[in-house]
Amino acid sequence: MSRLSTALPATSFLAATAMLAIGIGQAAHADTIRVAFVPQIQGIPYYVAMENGADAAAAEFDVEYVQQGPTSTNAVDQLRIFESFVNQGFDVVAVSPVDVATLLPAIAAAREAGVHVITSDADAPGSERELFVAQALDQDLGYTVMDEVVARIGEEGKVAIVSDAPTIQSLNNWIAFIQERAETTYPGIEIVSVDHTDGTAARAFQFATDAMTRHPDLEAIIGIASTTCPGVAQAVEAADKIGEVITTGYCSPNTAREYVKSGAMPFTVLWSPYDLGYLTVWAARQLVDGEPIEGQMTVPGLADPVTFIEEDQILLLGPPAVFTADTIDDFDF
Amino acid sequence: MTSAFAYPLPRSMVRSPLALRVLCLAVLLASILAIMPFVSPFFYQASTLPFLLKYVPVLGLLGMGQALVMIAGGPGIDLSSGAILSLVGLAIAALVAGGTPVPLACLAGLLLGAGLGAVNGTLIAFLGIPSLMATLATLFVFGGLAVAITGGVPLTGLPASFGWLGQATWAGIPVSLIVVLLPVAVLLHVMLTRTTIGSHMIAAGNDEAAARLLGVQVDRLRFALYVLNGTLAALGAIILLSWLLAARPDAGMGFELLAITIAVLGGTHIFGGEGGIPGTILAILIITVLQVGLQLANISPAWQLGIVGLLLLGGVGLNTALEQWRSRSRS
Amino acid sequence: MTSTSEVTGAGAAASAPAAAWRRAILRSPTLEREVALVLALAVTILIFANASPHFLTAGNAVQILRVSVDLAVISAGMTLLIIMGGIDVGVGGILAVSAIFIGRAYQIDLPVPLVVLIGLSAGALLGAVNGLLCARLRIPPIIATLGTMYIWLAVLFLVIGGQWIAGLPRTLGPLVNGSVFGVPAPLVVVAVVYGGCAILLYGLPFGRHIYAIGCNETAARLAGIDVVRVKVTTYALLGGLAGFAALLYVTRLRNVEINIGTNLALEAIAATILGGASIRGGVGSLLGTLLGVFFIKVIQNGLVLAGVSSLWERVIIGSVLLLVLVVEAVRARRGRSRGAPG
Repeated sequence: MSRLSTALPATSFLAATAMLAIGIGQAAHADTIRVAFVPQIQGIPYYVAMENGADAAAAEFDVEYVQQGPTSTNAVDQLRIFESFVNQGFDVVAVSPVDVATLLPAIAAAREAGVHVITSDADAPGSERELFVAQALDQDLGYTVMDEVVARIGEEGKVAIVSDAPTIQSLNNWIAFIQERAETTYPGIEIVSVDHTDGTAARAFQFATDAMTRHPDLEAIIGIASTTCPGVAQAVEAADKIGEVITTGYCSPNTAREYVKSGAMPFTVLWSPYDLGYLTVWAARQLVDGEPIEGQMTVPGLADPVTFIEEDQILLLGPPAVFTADTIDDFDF
Repeated sequence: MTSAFAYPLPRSMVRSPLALRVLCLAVLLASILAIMPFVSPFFYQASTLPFLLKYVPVLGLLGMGQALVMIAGGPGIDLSSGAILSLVGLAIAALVAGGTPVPLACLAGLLLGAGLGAVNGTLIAFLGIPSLMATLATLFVFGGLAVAITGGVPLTGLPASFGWLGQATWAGIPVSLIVVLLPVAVLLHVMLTRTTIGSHMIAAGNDEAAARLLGVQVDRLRFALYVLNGTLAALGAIILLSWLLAARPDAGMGFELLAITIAVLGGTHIFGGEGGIPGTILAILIITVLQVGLQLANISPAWQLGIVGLLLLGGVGLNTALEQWRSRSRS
Repeated sequence: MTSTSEVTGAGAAASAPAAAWRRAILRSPTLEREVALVLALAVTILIFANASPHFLTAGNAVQILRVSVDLAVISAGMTLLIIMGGIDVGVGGILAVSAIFIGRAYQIDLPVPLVVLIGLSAGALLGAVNGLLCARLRIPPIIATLGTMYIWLAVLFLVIGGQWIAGLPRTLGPLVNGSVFGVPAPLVVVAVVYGGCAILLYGLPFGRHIYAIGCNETAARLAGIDVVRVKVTTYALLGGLAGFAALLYVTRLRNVEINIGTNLALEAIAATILGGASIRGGVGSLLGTLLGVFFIKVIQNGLVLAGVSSLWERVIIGSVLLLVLVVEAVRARRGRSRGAPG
């Protein structure tokens, strides 16, 4: 082999070995407590709001906070990010699982390595996570939407549901509770369809429009994911059915504001992701410090007290919040 | 760059463009490994190797299968391998939940993968439908079936004992790598470089008409390669199943594009006639190291996406440069 | 010995445009496919009309039109591209980035004509980048457009990953919601776009060049066609149409969110192929593509109205595509064995 072809790879590998030595030396461990959160997907305003709250809490409670999510709701991509945080020796890794089964072994391995694992925003039942920081119980979320819909259209009527991909567990949970509420408490309510988009507002628009065509007496459309909200509301506006059909969903105020004001979306149900992010960091800090979390507690920086449900280890932020035309301007996310 | 190109390449490299490509990939990998500690202080530690290598086998199998399909020409491509992976995973999980012993279910899964691959092969090799169109259709059908049948809900219920393949490591290296990926890679490499089948593949990819005249059964060969790709996807499904102990209907989504990226980055020519296993393996290592390394530095996956895109474009652009270097060295 | 000018169409341009049209239609290799699609569409409409009383109404038809426009506009460009032998799997990314430019332009209160210009130019430029990569650097189209798609997606995340652009103005509303002399606006838009592309393809020398390159690129180059210019222009055209589709999208939904443009490329390719185009190049039909687009959208609409779970949509469309491809392949084989020896 000529000198060049031996020299080039040889030098590269020598250099790599040298770097290895340096690199190991550089891996010093900081003294600050490091907390990470892996949302279900990067780049939606909801998780950005969580990050803002978490950053505020990080400053308040003196922790280092990092948030990274996958670019699509891909379970394996999320797993890689989760494991990356564990490998970096973070003290606490919080996660909102895209798929619980995928994370089970990783959570167990993380606990074994001495890393605190908590879930936030969506739970991982059956895993070794230490607690679940919940915005509100899935059941309350489902029930509240249904109750608010009924409060506006009456106890009889047709309702359509438009959701994101069928593979997102947390959304399916909310749908299940909405349906349960309708079946048990409002037998006059008929949920006529549950459609799944590809995540674009355009398809949500299409499904909502077609649902209104199929059921001219449709009274409400619920958009389950934040990506569906503008689509369903816009569909009602485009069909000139403001007042005849109400839309709602778990929508962020910024996205929903115009429609709330125009009447196409008289209310949305959400919670404050800012507070949720804040609470997540506080809970993380408590865990690392070994401080107890129990019963009702007041968290410095949060207006309302939070509740700890011992049975399932759930730290509850509070009941779902309902945003209407009066209150929506107070929020920016 | 100009100064390096002034030197003539060693004769072996001039004769074999693939060897040159593999060398460049090796250098690229080494350079990335060299830079990594500056990107993240957590890269060079004991836990990184098993962490990183776990993500290699599934994608590696799909990438190698894609490379083989491409090499035999046509042009050959398989957009449905990710969907085959999803469907086979679901089938195996369903069988196990219904009481079938795991090894039997896995065998059935392999057969299913081969069968789905045979569908592709029939459409493309025997009916003459261009591979992009045929596998686009099967992507819709297979992928759609996976989601429609399950309603989007993943299937669980696999015994924890099944996890040995996908979760266990041996001296830090994942078992799936040692037991599956490495042997398969060696087998495929030997097949491609040392057997008649391999030379037939390359001949068919280079000049189909000439290959036919020389007696190469081009259609049967290509059919077999699509069956092989389906089987490799099924193998990947088994590893994924063992790793996560659950079958998601969208498990393979996005994998086919990554498989194409890996195959092309690894030196496989999209119109066939050129390509190999070592390059593909290096390519997947490069991409995984980049993804993991950047993630360990908490650089957003969005940036990772962009870098993969640049790498893909750069990799193909590299081909042109290498071609010029070769022709200059020849003279 | 034919002179270059004759080959490039100076002679053809001398004959009446009507003759060119007649030739194009009667000798069209895609006529059969177009007829088949019309029949298939008719059958599908009948099936759905039977399944739901709301299907065969004027209101529903307008709705289908309205949601078809984005796909239709992009598929027109995709048809030209595929006829030329190229492909763009990342056109969704081009739409997304164009939408960002449009959204931001609205946010800083630029006058609407300028916003339109920005949207179209952004798309055209991004398309041109693809064209240059393919034509100049000789990167295979599928790789080049895959690579740029990754990059545009990364840009999408980095720019609006924090804050979606919401509440955009309705100024261009009439373009999507209005009507011209009673004809719904989407129909007018589709007619204009497809009419324009048809004139380009069948009436102008440029269209002949597209076909020539698709049939045999080397021969086209030897015949004096500026292959690089034609390629870059065609990719830019698709990009510009993507920019236009982004404009329509933003106007209809008044929102730019993270998933914008997903699946668009695959659906456009599917529609184009349904319409009779071959991925090998040299064959394609704008009418066929339009019928393909309507076919896809009618199925999507019909399934919802019939109460079938939307999860089956992909399977159905894929199966139809498969059927079309298989039937065509079988007939081609039979034709070959009946025809020339060997």
